Amino acid sequence: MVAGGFGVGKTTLVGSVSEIVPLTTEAVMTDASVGHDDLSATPNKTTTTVAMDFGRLSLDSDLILYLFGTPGQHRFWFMWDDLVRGAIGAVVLVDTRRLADAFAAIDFFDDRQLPYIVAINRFEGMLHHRVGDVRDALTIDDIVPVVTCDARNRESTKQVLITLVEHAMRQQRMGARV
Amino acid sequence: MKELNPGQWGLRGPTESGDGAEGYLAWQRARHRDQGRRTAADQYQPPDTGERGREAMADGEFFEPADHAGSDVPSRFDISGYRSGLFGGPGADLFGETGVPMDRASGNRGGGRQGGFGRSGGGSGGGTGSWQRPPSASVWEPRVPVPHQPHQPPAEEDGTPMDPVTETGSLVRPYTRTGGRTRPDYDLAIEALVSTSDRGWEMEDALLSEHRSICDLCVETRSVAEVAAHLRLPLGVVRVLIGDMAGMGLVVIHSSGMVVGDRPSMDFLERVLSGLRRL
Repeated sequence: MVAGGFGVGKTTLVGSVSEIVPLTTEAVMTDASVGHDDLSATPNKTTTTVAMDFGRLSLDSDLILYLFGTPGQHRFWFMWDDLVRGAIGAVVLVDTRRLADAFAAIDFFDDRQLPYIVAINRFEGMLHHRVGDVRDALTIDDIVPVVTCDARNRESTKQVLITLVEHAMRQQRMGARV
Repeated sequence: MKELNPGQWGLRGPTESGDGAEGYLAWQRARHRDQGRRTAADQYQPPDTGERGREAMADGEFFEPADHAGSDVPSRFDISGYRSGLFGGPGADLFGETGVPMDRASGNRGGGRQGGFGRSGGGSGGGTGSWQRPPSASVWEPRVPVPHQPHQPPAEEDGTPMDPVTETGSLVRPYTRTGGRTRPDYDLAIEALVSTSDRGWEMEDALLSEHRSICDLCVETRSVAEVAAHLRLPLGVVRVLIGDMAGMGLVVIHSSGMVVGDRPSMDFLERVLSGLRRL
């Protein structure tokens, strides 16, 4: 899962490692109180469509990794729950100029106990803040890795994913010991 | 017409059904609205009026819908004539419809029957000639006895709820394709991998258009999300469709088998990690 605020580069990150051009899928949020009868009579009134980008990465003949860029808006969080199930972990992509956008995602993953790392996207190759400052500003746990990346760069994104999987394994080992 | 290009099975606007499509669509739109307003009780018709309704349909009512749009009595005929279509529509759940055609034969007949309900559904097996507006009523005469062969199950069961209408936009609501069901029978993860089974291959000609498209796509193993993206259908709709197809044995859903509770197992993570490093 790749989460983060609007325009932070989620789709770019997914696209940089995906073997397919990132696809967009849609989910329709249906108002449960609306009866069948209304559906054909009032088009575009009873449902809201959410788009979600995702990419694919074949790691082995029988192992395919999917990267889902989550819809950022809070009201679409019903989809996040779907994604969390069975997910290895999440990358919270942040833009240091808009750190606050990441708070909601971090809270969410903390709450669901999904392993996540924070990746700071270096816009124009510049790092606007030190990693430590970002960690402090986001008030995240010390064990959560904070890395920098260039979402456009395949190698860089690969490293982010490796960091995430390593972190997930660490978390799981810790969990097993408890 | 026999073989519709699966890549364009009606997902793309109303242009492909040929001449006269505009008026036909306009009428369908009106009729669809009309159906929407009717309650479930209205849809049940005594058998005798049902017969008359079908006669009315064959006598040209089908082709001159405007004559009946406003008045009450003829539109009741209209409804009973389209009973199977209605039961296959958004309200199908109300009648305990399972969403899975009872047998291949009825699925085939569905192709012709649903011709009254939708445009260019992709010619699911039989009745392929019915997707375009027929030039004259005589073409449609053979359809008249079709809905009620002696061995035909009752109307509640014979309507295949997968509506073949496949326009995007406001003409048909997304969940019409699933008979109004929004939850799949299977607990299907968004990343679950789906591939076409041998049975899916063998059955190809007899499938509903949506099912056939999914079978075509999943020749290569794909995730549920990919299928949704390629078909430009909402995720929820595709979940229901794939759930149905799994129930019919048309597709195989691969479970990773590597998930412990909610989280991937350690072995799985290690494989992912080494896979990533190899990239």
